[in-house]
Amino acid sequence: MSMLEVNNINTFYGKSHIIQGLSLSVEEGEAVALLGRNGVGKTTTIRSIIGFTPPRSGDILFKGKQIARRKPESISRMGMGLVPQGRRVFPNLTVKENLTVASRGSAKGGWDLERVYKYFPRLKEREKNLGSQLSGGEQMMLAIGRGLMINPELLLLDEPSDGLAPMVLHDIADIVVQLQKQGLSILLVEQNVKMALKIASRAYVLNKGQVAWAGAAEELRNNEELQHQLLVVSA
Amino acid sequence: MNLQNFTFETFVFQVLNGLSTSMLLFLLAAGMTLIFGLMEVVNLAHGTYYLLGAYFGYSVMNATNNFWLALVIAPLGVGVVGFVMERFFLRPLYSKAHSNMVILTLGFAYLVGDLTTLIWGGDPKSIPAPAPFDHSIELLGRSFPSYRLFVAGLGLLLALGLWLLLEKTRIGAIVRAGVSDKEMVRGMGINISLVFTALFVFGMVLAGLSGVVAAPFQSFGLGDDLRILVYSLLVVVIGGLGTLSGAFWGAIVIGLVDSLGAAYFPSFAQFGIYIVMALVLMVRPTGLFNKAQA
Repeated sequence: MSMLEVNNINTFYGKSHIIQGLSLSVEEGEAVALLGRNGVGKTTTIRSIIGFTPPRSGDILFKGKQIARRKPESISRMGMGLVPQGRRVFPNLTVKENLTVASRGSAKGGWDLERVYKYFPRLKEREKNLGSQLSGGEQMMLAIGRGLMINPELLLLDEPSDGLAPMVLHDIADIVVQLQKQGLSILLVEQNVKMALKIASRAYVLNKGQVAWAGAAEELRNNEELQHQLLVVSA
Repeated sequence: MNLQNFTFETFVFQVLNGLSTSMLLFLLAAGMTLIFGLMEVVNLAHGTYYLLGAYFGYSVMNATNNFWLALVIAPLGVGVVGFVMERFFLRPLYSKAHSNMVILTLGFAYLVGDLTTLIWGGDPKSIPAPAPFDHSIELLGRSFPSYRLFVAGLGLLLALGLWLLLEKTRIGAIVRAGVSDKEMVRGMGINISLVFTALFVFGMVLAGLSGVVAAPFQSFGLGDDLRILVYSLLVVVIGGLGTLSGAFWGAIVIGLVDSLGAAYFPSFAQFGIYIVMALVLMVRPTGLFNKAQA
């Protein structure tokens, strides 16, 4: 059984048909990259999965259960963590509150404040600061920490590299790799193809709301021509 | 202008009067501003729940002759009405345009307003102040109704309690998070519609409470629901939508202007508060305490 199985979904914003019959899967413990140019539907795919913009048709199975028509809060509670595009840290809450709001006070070995602080010591230092007072990198750490506080089995990461300095980017990539090695399943949306292919073992490339290419990350990494053809905006 | 009887004593008295009014307004506006901030509903039935609280208190008082009992039971009764309104009438409209909700709350205001007249009649009612606050105390060589001091004290206490609840608890953090990004709150597994219901009912309980608290020093009846609604709206607008501190300071401003205006500028008293609102909005269009702007 796959961790996540998306089967032929169609998602709309009003009348615009954004996701057109998309299918993908994430196996347990696997990191999968979702790539593509701007506006091909990567974020909409994430929004469909978490239930913010439910698909009009098609199936989404999470741990074997149908979630395509469920509410976001119930999908989240099943163990799906979200690190959304633009980070969406709560600006009017302190760092600590941003984390505890998401906390579910759950079983042993799960994520709690202490463990998140161990991963991101910087957050501990800034725990009394407001979300709005953080740098971009700190906000990213907080968004990831918040996503982990719900004790996810699958983490949706939507463009973690967005707007980050190269140094910080490196740290974030390391963290994501560590999380995956500890058994977390990850679906990673990225514009930064290099970073994504370093983290993921498989990749999907989207075009116009459909999967244009799917395969091993290594294959795409080693084939610059293919990368160019799939991902670079043509003139 | 009416300054010939201006003395330090009368000034202090007017300020105290004003502050007790402020605290009443704060109880009303606190619920209104948080409900607006989280649910984006301008509840035009807010004043109606104030009046309903006063009537419920009056009936409990008639039945038991115990003010303190009325002070507890009446707001809870108003909370039940609020629950029904949110669950069965507002909820189906959350996914529709906001104007639908505004119209619904206005409809509720008229409907419940008429029902109160039907049940309790059109004559103004009042509730006697309870012991030990049923007589005046000596203050600066003159007598001042002690009940007003009680109201000011109770209001301050509740303001502190509300602040602690909102700023220091996880529930409060969820409400604040919801004010800034509802969708993300849901994406973290929090059942926001439960939070909506709880906050709405809580706001109605506070409105009902202020209705009971006000009843011993101002008689109430037909038309007071809309009058108090306007005051409450002014406080929320002046303070800035969606912030508790805004509701607090907005209430202080409106309470004082209302009281001092009535004493010293009687001919302008009717629209003094509107002048203040216009001035505030000219300088800070989003209100005094709107963090989004600051």
